[in-house]
Amino acid sequence: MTRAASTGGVPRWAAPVSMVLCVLGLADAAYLVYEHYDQSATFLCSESAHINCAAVTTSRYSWMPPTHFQAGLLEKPHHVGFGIPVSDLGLVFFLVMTVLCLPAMWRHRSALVSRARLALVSLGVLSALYLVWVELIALHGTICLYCPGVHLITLALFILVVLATALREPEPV
Amino acid sequence: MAKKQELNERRARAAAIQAAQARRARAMTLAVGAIVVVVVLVLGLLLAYGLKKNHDKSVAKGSTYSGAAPAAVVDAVTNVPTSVYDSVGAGTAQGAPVAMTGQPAMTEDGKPRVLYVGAEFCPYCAAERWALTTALSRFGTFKGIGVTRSSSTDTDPNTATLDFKDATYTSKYLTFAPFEYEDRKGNLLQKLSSSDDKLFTSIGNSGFPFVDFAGKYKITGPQYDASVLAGLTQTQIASKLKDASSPITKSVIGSANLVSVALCDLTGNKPTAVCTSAGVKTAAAALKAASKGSK
Repeated sequence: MTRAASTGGVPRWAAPVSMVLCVLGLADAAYLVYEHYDQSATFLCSESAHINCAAVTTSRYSWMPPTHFQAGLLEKPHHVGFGIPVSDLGLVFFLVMTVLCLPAMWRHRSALVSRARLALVSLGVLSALYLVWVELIALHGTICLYCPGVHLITLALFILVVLATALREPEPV
Repeated sequence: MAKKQELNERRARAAAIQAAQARRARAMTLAVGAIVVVVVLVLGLLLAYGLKKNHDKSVAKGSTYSGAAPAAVVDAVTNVPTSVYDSVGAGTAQGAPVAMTGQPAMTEDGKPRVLYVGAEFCPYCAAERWALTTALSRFGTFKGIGVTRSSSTDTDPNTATLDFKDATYTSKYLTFAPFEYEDRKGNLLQKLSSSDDKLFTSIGNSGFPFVDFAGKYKITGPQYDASVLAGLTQTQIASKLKDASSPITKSVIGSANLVSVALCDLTGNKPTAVCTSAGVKTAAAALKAASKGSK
């Protein structure tokens, strides 16, 4: 059986490696969703830890679009106006990518699937670039270690999908 | 005839293969191009961050990391014009002292005692000290205020602030006991008494900043976003406090007025000039409206 027949023409490593990346991304994104909604996350400097993930996952940039916090007298600021938590978007991204990176989907010859995968991973990497800007510049270098994890996985997925798509063998004539 | 047809088919197949190879080569060029663009953008962001960090460092050189606060800074912070307090009201403060129930009244020398537990590394404490100092200055007099900056590795790094490590406070209305528990590097700096440590652990959840207003109110977090102070020196921050329209003043003085609402409750609304001032009254009204809204 030729490579084209067994893998839909994409390199053999594309499906397994992309699945591993998607699962890792899903786990990381799920944790960030938990952090975003965790009511016990406090705006306190811990006695033992100097890095506070909550500072990133609850900042105004943790919403898309970035939101303004209520300038009211609340113990914890809450957002005003329409907004979707970035962590939720990340989780949805990895869920859809996981589906699009299933071995059966890689074997699929449909141009629609291939384009959807490419478009989604491009959107993902652009979002990751924006979030790197947020952490390094807008939040003055505040980094929640789980966020760069998601960014690196997205970057790796982007490189993988772009290369695998470019290396795809044409259907046998 | 058959030979000619076969030749044509071969040529067509060869052309198709060539076209497919050309398509693949184009796709590969595009793919590598896209990857290079993304990698260059990432490197660009890292470079921008490095340049920004260097810039912040050079700004930070303009102010000291420890020692006594410059007289001009102390003067600007402890003598904010009343008109500024009145104009700002609650400002853009996002937090206020929260009422506590079931706690014994904490007094010292027959006066309500305010306990502050912070740490020099803590960026939230860095923000809170500006508000506490301005508010308490309306009820008494500070001596020995120092300067420091929050940790360079935490959120809102190197936030310029005041330091209570060697500060003393006198007032005929209340007492103020400040403790800087840890230094900029997280080493133990000032030890708490066992009774204060109990309060810090049980009410303050061992987090900084913690302010206990005589057992009646508490602050267990920053009242405003410390990023408003980013990249500024103590002198620059202090000089902004006379401008009611400055975002820094709206944060610091708005928070100070809210602290004053709690302090006035402790002192039986004394001094009258402060407790009946427009700024404190506006802050009290905003606090009331917010607590109603959150119910």
